[in-house]
Amino acid sequence: MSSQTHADAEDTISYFFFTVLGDEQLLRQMSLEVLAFSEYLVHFGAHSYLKALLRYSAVFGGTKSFRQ
Amino acid sequence: MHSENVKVFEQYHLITIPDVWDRGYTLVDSVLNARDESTSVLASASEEKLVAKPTIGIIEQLLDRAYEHVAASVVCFATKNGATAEIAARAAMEASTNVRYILAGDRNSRVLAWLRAFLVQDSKQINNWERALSNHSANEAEVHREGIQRRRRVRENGKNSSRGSNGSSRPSVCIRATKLGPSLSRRALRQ
Repeated sequence: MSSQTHADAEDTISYFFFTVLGDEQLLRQMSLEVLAFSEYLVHFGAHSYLKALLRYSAVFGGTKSFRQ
Repeated sequence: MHSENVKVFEQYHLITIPDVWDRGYTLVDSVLNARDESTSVLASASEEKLVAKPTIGIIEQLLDRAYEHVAASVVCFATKNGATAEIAARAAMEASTNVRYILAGDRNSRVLAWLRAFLVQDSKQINNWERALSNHSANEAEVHREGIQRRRRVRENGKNSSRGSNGSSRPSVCIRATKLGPSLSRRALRQ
């Protein structure tokens, strides 16, 4: 997962075509999508970590668990 | 109003989370609160529990590493390095998946299988290193051979210390993630 290639090629192709077409709106849309996906991954990484902490607390914490 | 946790995070990492990224504050606050809670699990564990559940220390350490990846992804995103934030976030997912997979079954066996998988992979890399020496001069190859022998000795010691489990092997990260539940893909997000 961590070594999976970032989709730079896809973004590069999109950037090339949108630039050639001169479509500023599509370029902006693409930029927003790239930004949104980066933020999504940051949140999903934290989400995975929180799930691991929850499991850890359940296994080793006994009666102790996270506050909701 | 930023929580004390978030302020400490910003000071420690020498950054300021941009005001426009409200979700970033919430994320950092949630992660740090949860991390504090999990730390108290280990701190409050009795000696009997530590003896009965020997993997707790290793898993705690793995969670620490996973946290560093999460923190790095936040720092990268907050400092406008989105592509690198993605890489750190993927590493956080993988590290967290490893922990959850270990916790979901026979912990002792899975921890040992995880260590053994590294040793097997490392042995392959050492062999590849040795094969690559044909492209080097005799003097250079000699220096590399010393390094290869030293690394093999270290790995032999590692193999000896990882023996003793029931011999289960470690599936790929894709299989481990699949067993833990559904996930989302980039393609799915964009559709």
